[in-house]
Amino acid sequence: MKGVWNKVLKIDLSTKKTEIVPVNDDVYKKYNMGLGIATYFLYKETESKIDPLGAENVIVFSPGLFVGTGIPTGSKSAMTFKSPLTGGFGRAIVGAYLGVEMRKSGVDAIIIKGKSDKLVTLKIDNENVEFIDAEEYRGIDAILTQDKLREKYGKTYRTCAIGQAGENLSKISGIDFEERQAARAGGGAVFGSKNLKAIIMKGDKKIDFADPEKLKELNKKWVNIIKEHPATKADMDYGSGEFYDWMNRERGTFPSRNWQWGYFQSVYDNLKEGEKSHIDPYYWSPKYTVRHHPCPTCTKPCGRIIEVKEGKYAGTKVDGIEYEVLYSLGGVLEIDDVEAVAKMNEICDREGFDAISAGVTIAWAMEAYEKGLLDKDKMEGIELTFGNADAAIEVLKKMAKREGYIGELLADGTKAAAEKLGKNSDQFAINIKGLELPAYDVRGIKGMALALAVSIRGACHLTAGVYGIELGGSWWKYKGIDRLSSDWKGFEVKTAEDLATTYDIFGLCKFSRHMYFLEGIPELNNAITGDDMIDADVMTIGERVYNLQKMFNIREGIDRKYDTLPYRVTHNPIPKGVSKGAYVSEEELQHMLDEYYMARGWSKDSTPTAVKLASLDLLDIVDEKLAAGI
Amino acid sequence: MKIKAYGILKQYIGDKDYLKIDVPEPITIVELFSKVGIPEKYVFVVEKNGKAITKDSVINDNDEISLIPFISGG
Repeated sequence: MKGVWNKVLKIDLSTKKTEIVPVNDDVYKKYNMGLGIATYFLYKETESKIDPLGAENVIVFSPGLFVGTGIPTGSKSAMTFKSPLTGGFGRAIVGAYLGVEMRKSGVDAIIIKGKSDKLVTLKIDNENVEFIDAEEYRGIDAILTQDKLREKYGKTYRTCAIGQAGENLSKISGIDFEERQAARAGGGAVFGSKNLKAIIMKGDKKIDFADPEKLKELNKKWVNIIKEHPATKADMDYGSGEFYDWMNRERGTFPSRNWQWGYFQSVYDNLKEGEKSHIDPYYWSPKYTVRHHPCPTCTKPCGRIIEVKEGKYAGTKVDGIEYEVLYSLGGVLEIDDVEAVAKMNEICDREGFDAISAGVTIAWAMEAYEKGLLDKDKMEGIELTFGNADAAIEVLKKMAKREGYIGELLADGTKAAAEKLGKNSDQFAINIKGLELPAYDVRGIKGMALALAVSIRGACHLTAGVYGIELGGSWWKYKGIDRLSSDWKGFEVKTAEDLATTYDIFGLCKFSRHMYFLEGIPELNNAITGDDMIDADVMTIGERVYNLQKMFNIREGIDRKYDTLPYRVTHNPIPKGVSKGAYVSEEELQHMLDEYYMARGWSKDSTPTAVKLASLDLLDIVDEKLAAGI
Repeated sequence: MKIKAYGILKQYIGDKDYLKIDVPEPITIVELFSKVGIPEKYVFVVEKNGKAITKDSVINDNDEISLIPFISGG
């Protein structure tokens, strides 16, 4: 097959040995690249019930097929591992320049196992690996570490690194790729557990495309389509939080104050005509943006560097602030100060936290503190009340170091914290399978509630990404969607998951899925590989990879019992606003789950049936004994 | 008629929370766009009194219209 190298690079950190392993075309035809082969190799290279923080866990990293081809927004690489946070399939997708280097390196993925005896940096030139002592970077933040490595080895290397959170095995830590994060599900702790501080990589080979002229022509076509698309200007000017104001005013589904509210009540109830919330990008983006900060080959960059030049947070400079962070370090903490949010965002990136999980965990602690459930004598004077940005900043720093009572309590996210604290604090711990919820109040977006409940990696908004479908009522071939109904959500979510999975396989940014949809993908694939893929083949690959991820979880014993919603979503209706009274009852959730498993061809306990696995040609990798009968 | 617009569409109603205009005779949404000067291609969803409607729907002076741009997401 053209456009791929038919090889992967295996790295054993224990023995410091590496191996180039040939991969035949059949694997690419079934799984393609990116999340596809990253799922395939994770499943193949791990046994069930391994310790996620043990040497036996495996990290697979693979750029999507479109990465390094010039296809606009074809920028995403996939990382897979067993998640220390959920105990199940771990996945993080990132717009990584390191992925572009890997695409030019002669291998299609790296597979890292074992554990180094000392903190180490992997220096990879094409297929050649050097193990470099990284003790001098211990305790150094993720971004500074990468700056230092590029200074030392040259700016042509592209990089990733963990910060203190990862070194200290925080289960909500991620990996920083030059200020883009593979954040979710605890990959940073997996790096930390292997004593892997950083990877730097350079490739200088040329990918052999099946039809380079056609690819050039298609790239030009898509650059123009994206340029003319009505969403492009807003994305570039205001970033992913562009719809923040609408979520508050017209939908009442921007969770705030640890999900006590469905919109940012204390701000929006007091705004005068023409005033804006200070975390609304229409307020802050023009004031603070220094420049765009695009992912590789993105022609519609939503990423931006913002800088705070005055006041007590002066000197803060960060890539952001994304929509999710407006919630996790803003609304959910009841903080409407964009400069404080930027500061916390910077700390998360540098210390190497998943900013969603870290913020939602602090929100849990604020509620626990106000309820008098935390031991105030051990708080070192920190008044951790809602809206107290300085307290949140202090706590965040302590979490990275696991310092003191509060740092240790919160370092592994809401699930672990609520288990440690007890006192029914799990009733306001906002996580599913351990992963903290993103910025959609799913009490008023029921399809999204299902999507988060069933998502393989825990509460992930991009596994299905149905928020646009639900909130807008239509998208692509979907029409007449009612966000407050619990009917037909199974089919809606299943189809969206399969499509979204293809984006992570091909490496397309999901913020361009209303441009490429499904139909844009096959001709690009075919120009690269010489294959003759059609739309249906793309969806089949997505469904196959999704089912293999699910089988990873089934192998771990993660079945229907784990497809739940937080207590607050099923018991506490949204108190005020457009979605007042909305919640998801236990009956509604069970109804949606039944529909979903049926649409997927899975059993009632959520196990893929042998018929489904056979029809997706997965029984060569999955043990049929794990599958369900009908 | 009260017109609310969000995101990038807000500039077309003077960057206010809403715009009030007189609509003596029923008009279609497309006619409304032309009356107010809103480029149709930027509008993803139109809602009348909180319910989604098509762009050829007819609206009256006492309706509240919300205009929503494309959602890329978070």
